[in-house]
Amino acid sequence: MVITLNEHIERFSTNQIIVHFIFALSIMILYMTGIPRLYPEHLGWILDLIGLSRSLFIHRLAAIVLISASIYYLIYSILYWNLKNKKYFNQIIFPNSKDIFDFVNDNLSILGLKHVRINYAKYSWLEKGLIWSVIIVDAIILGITGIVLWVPWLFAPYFTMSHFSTINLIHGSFAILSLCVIIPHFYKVHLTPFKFPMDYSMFTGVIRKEVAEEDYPYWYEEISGEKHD
Amino acid sequence: MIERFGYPLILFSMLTIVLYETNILTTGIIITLGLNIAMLLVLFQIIALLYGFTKSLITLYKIECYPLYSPIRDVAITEQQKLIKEEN
Repeated sequence: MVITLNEHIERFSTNQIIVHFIFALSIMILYMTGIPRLYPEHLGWILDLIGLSRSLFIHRLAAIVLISASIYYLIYSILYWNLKNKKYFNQIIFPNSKDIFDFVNDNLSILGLKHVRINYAKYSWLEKGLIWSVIIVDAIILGITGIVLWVPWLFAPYFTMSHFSTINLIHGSFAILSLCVIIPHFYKVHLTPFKFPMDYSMFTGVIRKEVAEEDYPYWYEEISGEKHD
Repeated sequence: MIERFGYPLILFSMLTIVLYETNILTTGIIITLGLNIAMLLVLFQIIALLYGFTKSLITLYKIECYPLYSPIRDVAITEQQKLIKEEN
């Protein structure tokens, strides 16, 4: 079997590749320096290894990078949406009715109540959910609560001690929620037997024709005109 | 073989987080093991990211050096070489 050049399709732009890398790296660094502080009796060795003050410094630096990347991505999305193809952008980035149907069907399939073949568009509901969860949970919620915890003296006139404790609790809880979203993503792109050890499409920007046909049939049909059975 | 451990590892680490956060089990070797596995997965993710991004930077460098270079063609050639190796 000879693989021809036509058997690969472009799926991610250079901008998406760079933004994904910055998002992912900064989030991972935030986990490595933040989560051990939530479980000191189990993960204290990480803090001992890095040092508490150094881990705080790295944590804040990574947070700044993440927030900056999120602001950049939001501005880019708004500009792209306004200046370029509005309809196409709405279809691929923002969740739509098809994603809701896909979400319901997938969950019914998992529960064994309905057997429907996946029919994802260019980005599935899971991928769209992931990028928006990073922006909403990691950048906005964790960003705002993190800034309050970083410079508490600035907010002291407005908040009481119990407010700060609540904000601390929110910050920790959302961090764990975020970790619980990212770990399954790690399975989906690295550890699943179909893609082990690594799915390079997020770095090369291209995807194999058969993979596109199998995993994203709706998108494949749109770009090639071929219907997958 | 190693890819078969992926699902149990993820499930185990997620379960320990749930057990800890719901106060069902907050101490003991199981929780320590599960949380450390979660952190190790994060560490592996960092390594995978850096490796993948370095690869894409090399591709970018090749595009700069050789204007006719195509990443799609490169991926196709690599996979073709892999197939030839497997056939032999």
